[in-house]
Amino acid sequence: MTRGTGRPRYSLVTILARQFRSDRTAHTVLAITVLVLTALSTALPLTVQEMNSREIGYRLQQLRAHQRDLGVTVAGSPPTAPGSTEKEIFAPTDSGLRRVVAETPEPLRSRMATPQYLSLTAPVSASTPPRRFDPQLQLAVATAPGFASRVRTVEGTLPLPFAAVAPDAPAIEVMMTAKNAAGLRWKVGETRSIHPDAQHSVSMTLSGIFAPRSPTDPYWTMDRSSLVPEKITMVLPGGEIQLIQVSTVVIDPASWPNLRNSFAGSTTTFRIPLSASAIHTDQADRMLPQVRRFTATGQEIAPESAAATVTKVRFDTGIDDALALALDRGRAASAVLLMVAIGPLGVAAAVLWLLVSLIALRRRETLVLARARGASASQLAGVVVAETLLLTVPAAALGAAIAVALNPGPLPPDLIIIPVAIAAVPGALIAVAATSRAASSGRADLDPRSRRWVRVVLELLVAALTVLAVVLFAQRGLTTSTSIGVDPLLAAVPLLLAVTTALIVLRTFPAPLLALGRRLATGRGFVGHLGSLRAVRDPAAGLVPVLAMVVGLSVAVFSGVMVGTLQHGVAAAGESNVGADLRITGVALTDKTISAISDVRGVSAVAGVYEPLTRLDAVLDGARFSVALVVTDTGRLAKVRGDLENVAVVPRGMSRLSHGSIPGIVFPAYTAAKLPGARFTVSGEPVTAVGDPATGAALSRADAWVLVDRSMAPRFDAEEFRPELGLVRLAPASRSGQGLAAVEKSIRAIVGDPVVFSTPSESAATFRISPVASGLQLLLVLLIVTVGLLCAGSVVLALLVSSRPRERLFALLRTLGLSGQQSRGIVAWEVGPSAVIAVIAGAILGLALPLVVLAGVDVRSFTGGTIQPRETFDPLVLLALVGGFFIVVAGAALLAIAAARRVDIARTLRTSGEG
Amino acid sequence: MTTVAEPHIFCADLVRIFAAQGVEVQALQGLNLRVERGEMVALVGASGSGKSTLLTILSGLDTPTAGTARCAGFDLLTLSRRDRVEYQRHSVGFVWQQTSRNLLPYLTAGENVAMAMIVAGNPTADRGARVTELLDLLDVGYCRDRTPGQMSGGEQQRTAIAVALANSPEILLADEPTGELDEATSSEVLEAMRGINERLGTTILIVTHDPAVSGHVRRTIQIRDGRTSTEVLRRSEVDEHGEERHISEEFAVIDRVGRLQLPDAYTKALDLRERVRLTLEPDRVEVFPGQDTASTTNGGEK
Repeated sequence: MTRGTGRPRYSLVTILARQFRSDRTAHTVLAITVLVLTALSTALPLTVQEMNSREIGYRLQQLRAHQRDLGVTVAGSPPTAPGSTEKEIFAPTDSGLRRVVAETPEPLRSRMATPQYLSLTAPVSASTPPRRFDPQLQLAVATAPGFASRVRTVEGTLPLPFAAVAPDAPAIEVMMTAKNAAGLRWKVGETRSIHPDAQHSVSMTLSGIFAPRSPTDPYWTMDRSSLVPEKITMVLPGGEIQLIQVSTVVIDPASWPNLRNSFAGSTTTFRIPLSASAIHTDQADRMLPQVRRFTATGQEIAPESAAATVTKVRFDTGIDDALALALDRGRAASAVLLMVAIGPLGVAAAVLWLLVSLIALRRRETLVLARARGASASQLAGVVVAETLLLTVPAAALGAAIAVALNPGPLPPDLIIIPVAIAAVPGALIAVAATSRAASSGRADLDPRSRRWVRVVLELLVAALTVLAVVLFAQRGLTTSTSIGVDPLLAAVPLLLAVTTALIVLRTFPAPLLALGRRLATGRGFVGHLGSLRAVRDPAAGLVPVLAMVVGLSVAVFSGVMVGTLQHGVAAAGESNVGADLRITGVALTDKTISAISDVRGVSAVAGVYEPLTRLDAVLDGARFSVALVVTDTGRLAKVRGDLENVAVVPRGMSRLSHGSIPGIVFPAYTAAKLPGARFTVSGEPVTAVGDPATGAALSRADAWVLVDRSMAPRFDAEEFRPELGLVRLAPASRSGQGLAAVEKSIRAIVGDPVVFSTPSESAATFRISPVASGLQLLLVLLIVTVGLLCAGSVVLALLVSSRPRERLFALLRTLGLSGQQSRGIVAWEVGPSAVIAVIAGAILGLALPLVVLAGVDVRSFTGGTIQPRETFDPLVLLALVGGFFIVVAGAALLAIAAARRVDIARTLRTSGEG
Repeated sequence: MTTVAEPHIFCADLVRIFAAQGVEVQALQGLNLRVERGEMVALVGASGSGKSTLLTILSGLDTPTAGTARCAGFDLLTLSRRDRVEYQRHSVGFVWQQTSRNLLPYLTAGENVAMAMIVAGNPTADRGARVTELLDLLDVGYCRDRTPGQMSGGEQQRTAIAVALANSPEILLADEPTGELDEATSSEVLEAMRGINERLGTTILIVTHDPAVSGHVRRTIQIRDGRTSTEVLRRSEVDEHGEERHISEEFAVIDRVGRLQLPDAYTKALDLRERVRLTLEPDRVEVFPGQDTASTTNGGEK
């Protein structure tokens, strides 16, 4: 009976291929899920790394050049050697600095640019013919090696070299900027006799005017008076104020050795510019201690020699604090993201399990048959695992490739574990699912009791682990301030809490549901009765979708609260750092200017804040500590505060003694002292703490301070009042936009040019636009979306996994006259109760999680505030989140139900005889 | 392991208890069964008599709770995992009632047979030839490239038999192989099985509730309440006139400790209940109603 000539080759591969072709939907979904999961979970750490690197770059760029660079100003001249050219003369300094750089370890060394230096004589009178209201006009002579290459000559010529400085020698040539020349009223070609001291005199001719090639070149930060005259306010003993204006004149650098001894003294500024480009966190981690070591020790430029020569200097920089802050922010961001991302990872694992269960279910007949025909467990597992890996491995590879393509730089070796794990996990899961399903007889009612015990023990273990993790977390925090990294158990706290909540939901909700079912049984509602019974006895859901919904919603709510908390925290920090609607710094204020400012249109109130440099001794309960004194007109400050929330509260009556004691606002508000009302002694004077210093940041940068009214200041030997900080309350119309600009312009006209303004919104904005702050918020939002989709997927999958018994039931009920609407109702009962309870539990957990996380993760670095922000619950956002979540899950369930409705009664009943 | 004297399928006092959530169901209550090598036997019983449980045990898919069960030299109570695989691959083949448990719907008849060979790890060389040979043996060679959906019920069951025979098992077990078929097709399938039994010498045990199956086998065993109760032996004799006569004799099964089930019809006819009186004669045992005349009358009035 053999037909045809070609005898088919019956090989395992062809049979497997046919099997795959016959039912590939679930496999395709698995492959896509693996691809997306790999892409997302590989991209996340890469993005976080990139974000952290950019954050460091951003922090460095935020620094002013002189804060970012390694710099130092010391008394003395740079070491020189005999010679005629600039290069020969400064060779010892140049080579010394080069050696310093060369001896610096990497990665710090490669971020160093060529060192720069500049020497200045002490300022002396510029011999300008005096005019009324002139400040004291002074000049300092500068030598700046490489000067000629940094400037262009606007007028005249570059200064010529000179051999000596003597009364009878020819006048030496100097050069300066147009602004400096104008300040000194010195014309090109004019010669003046300068007197470095009583005995010496030097004739100087202005040979030319220069302009910097790049005025913004940080080089010029080495000498503030080199481009524009520097204005100095000096307070003489007795309160008289003297204004000084210093301009720098530049000589031919090679002539410095001939001039330096004619002046009373000189200073040299060294500067090693540091790159402000983004840097990988690992590099920054290594660089930070290198910077600290570099600045903590003296760097030898030349061996010990003449007394006036600089030999060893200790550089200073602000970059270490900025790096530390950026690294802290990066760590905190990673910690928050890890805690948030572990939840979706748990849901993703649950979704993979459901998918794999679905595949195993669809393969069940095949597996049972093959097993009955004598296929061993390892044979079956081998086939299903191979089939799965054949899909997941390329999918995971593609996903990882996409993630890498989206991010610059290669995949770090330690991250390769992610795609490998995601590719391997479905293989492992399906081995378990397939062999256990094939082994089971398919009779759920014959489930051995021992498995229930296993389940109870596992659930108790999870609960115990959760308690342990929460306790440890509360005690230790997430160790974000060290470079140890994050404890995985502690990072899993949100997930563990979610799993435990899901377990509690699953174990407790049958009771009320059964009660409901009994009540519905007495009525006419057949659907409600059957539905509630099915929800308890044969839940479609089971643990996995409930877990997914609890985790998903809690992550979504948690992320929403975190976003709100961070935004609110940033705004609050901006307010508390600025302290008013507008902050004026950079200029000295007087009573006259303060009253002029208060007359500006749009200004409601102004207060000047004065902080004398001297520290006072304070005694509280026998403990002695040092405080700064902050003096202000408390009446004005109270008006300035207005209704701002995060700034110091100034009570009335601070200008009067209360019971013989001086009312003062004390920072920090020592909790041990039970402030307010605590009594202190400050410099022997009794002080009673009143008011509330809030974060204290706006009024003083000191660690501890006491604010008293101006009328009380003389008791602390602070007779004068010379505020350098002005706090302004603005009329609502002037708080932003053009109104604000107009106010700033008017104030600038009153107090002069160097004034610096800041407002709470600007201060908040610098934090908000930082890569970590903005990236964190974006990633949190993305996580909300991802977890929502994962949840929807898990609900659909759960309904698909349980579709066979449901189809059987419906086919049966349909023959008994069940309507389509009633069958939908029964499916809704299958998902509904657990979904509603999961959503409630998830929302509650999501609201509770921020309390746990904020207790363990320091997020101050995101807000720029000095105190941890309070969790902020925005009802609208939360409602939108919960509602949106519910809609996504319900929509997915409806889709699955709609698909499930197309039941072929005849087919189902015919094939349902099998146990 | 195999001894010459031992029957090919041997069950003694076989017990299988399903326990779930506090309820115990005793599906087999001390069943005894002997099937000799090369025999073709039908096991007939009503629903719930335990016949499917027995077959599941004999096919190595389930383990009995107590008793003895040996098949083709394998002790089914102490089967190791490896032995079970070996047993299922090479010693036993089976055919179930539903096509879905016999054949994979997306594979052709040929592939279904081949899959059983692949599972057993048989060499690939002559697989195609062997597949064709088996299908031809069952007269379904023309179905080689058809999927089960394209075959009739009889063709499906004959293909299922081919699958079961793929690895040349010594024993073929069939659970209601004709359950879904009409009479004529049933007959075809059963005759195909008898053909296999005769040509290949395969021991065949058919479990069914259909008394008509008895017509196709020499020996029919009745199973009741988890025990084998009676046996009908069928043989044909050629009588003195040269005509073939079918003779069937009914036997009751007696177990090792002497228990014996009387057929329902007998007990009803004589209203045997509670106790009976036995008398031993030289060549037989006689059973009398245990009640005295009065109680018999009373019983009769009921």
